[in-house]
Amino acid sequence: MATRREARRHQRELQRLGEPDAAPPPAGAERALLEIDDLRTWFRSPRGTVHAVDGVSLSLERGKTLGIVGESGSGKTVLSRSIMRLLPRSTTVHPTGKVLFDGRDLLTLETGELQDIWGEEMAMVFQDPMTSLNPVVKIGRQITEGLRHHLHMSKNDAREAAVALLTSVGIPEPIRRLNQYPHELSGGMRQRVTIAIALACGPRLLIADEPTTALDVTVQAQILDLLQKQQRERFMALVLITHDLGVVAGRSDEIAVMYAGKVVERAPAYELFHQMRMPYTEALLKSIPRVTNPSHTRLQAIVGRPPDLVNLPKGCKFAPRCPYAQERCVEEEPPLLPGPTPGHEFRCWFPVGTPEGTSALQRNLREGRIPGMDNPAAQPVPPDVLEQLESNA
Amino acid sequence: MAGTGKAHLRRESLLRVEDLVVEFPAGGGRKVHAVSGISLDLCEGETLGLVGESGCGKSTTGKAIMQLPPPTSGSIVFQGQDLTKLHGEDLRRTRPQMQMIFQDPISSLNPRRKIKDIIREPLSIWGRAEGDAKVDEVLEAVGLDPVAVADRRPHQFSGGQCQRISIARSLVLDPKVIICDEPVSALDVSVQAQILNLLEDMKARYQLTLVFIAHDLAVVKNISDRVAVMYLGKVCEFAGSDELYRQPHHPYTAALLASIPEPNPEVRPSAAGLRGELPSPLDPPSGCRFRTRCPRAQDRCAEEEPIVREIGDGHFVACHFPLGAPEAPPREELLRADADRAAASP
Repeated sequence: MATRREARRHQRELQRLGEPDAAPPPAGAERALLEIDDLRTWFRSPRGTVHAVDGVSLSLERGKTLGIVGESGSGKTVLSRSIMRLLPRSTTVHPTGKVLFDGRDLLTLETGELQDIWGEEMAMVFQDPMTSLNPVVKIGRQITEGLRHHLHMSKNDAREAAVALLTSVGIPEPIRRLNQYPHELSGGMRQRVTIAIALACGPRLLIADEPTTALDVTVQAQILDLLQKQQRERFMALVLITHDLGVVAGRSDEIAVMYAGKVVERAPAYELFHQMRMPYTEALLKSIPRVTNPSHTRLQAIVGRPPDLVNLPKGCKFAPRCPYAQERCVEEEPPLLPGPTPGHEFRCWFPVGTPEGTSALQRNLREGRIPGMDNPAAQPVPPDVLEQLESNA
Repeated sequence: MAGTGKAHLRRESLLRVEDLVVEFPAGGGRKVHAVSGISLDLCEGETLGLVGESGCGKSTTGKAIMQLPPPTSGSIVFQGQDLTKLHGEDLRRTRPQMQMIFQDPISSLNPRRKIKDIIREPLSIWGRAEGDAKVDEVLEAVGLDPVAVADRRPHQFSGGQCQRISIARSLVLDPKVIICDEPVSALDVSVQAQILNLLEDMKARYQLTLVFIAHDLAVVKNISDRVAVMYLGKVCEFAGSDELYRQPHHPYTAALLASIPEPNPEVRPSAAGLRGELPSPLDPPSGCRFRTRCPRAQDRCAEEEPIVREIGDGHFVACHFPLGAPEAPPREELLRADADRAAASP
């Protein structure tokens, strides 16, 4: 088994050397570890084609963290699974675009080739640690499996490596844990085990898909600290996917906000929070309850829900829920426009914090066209919020 | 505490929980000490927040108030009646007054039934005449169009909409108290804000009293008037919500506050406020239950269980060495003060 795989790997190496486009990039222009170019992942469904990921372009260098933020149904999980090629083959329309990992297009690889990449080159941590661990296999075997398979370690070496891994992810009594089953551990401990498994073979890219959503706040902080520490020590690239801007704020180099399968704003973390342009990003940030506000502060919720990915609206996908929306937004979809600083992009005709945006908001306020205003039962916009909007504008 | 004591209870309350103990058998003659002697009270129109990590007994407390199952010991006085003493039909008669909303909105609705049937069921059980009109009223109140949703089934709705339906179902019998057990934990931030606003509106519209259980301190602060912080089956700190967050006195509350992620890239996330994990409720630590993870723990904490005492206006803490407050006086003194207070009240 091992020899066949080695032969395959050797063959691939030869192939790669022979390919003209595999030449190293010119000096100075270092290639990003992960480059996604116009990725589209669609699904077939009885109702029609689901446009889950619809033209996403991103890039990530080694040692950096990319935060991907969006509501349920915005396509962030499908994006991560498209990168990992973990999608059901039966219903997926073959993804188009490019996912270049260290120069190789992952979308063109066969399953056998992917198996050499999973775990070794890129690994993933999932949301629910109970369902991502096998309930009937001991922790020890779940960790050593990858070490034995990919790194061809002996049983004893792998066991020692597993103990070291468990220690590094902060699990007390690692030797005893090897003989335990997942149900004997708490949620936070289980998530630490899945992180240990993901890190086992020293991947260069780690994708964490809502790693803390199923956990308590205190454990959430611990797990995020752990991911950050491991990332620094191993100089990995990390993709951190979440629905909470608070989680990625202090922990990402760059943040991409997704809505309806598209990246609607992308910027370095500091820029995103200080010069946000996309009304959706603003709305997401405002809907977070803050401990610094007095109790019973009215939250500024986002009206309605994300659009149906089968029948997407023609113009801007966020327009029906946007307080800035004008006729143009309904008619014409905004492209990715450059923001105030390099590396900042957004999709909006009337961006936040610009004269056009401000006058659009004022116009909507005057004409009573803020979403939710006409249906007070569904989403009342209370007078104090209106005042606030007016004073902002 | 995490400790015991009743210094924080007020005279007049709609719901009064005293010395609540809930234990579950765990095999081998051992017991899970889920809730160990907590006391709470709730005035009409108030929202009480119960906050703590998984396994601290907050959900068990909520369920014990509903007598689901009845607690091991303690009293739960609701409108002058001790629910723990009621049985059968008498207990059933009190149920329409108290309703519950659960964490997972999708699994708490029967997937095979239509929305209108789910919401009408409590009315038919109690033989109320209002029928469809009432169903439409509550659906409209929670922001759903009765015509569009009545004949659909739960799987056709998103998590946030299912939670609206659960809220509508809990409102249909005009209850006095609603116990919300982590109603927004499974939802996205944007939907979470909608549901929190909705609960505030429903509280005002139907004059509700809420018990709001959650692990997210920011959420609890937003909705609550008073907050009880729980740890391993005990109450640590009890205060008005603004007061609690302005000056947390219990080291556990301070640690919880420190772990809230701040949506601001300049705030470098501090190293997690709390180390380690909740000890096993099968064999809770002696003395103060928080001492194994507490940065301020001393010998006294292992030997003597702290008692709830007032250290500010309406601010109660159960800690020997609270932050920004003097050390607790000896146990006998506190017990005497408690006894005096009990004797003074009618």
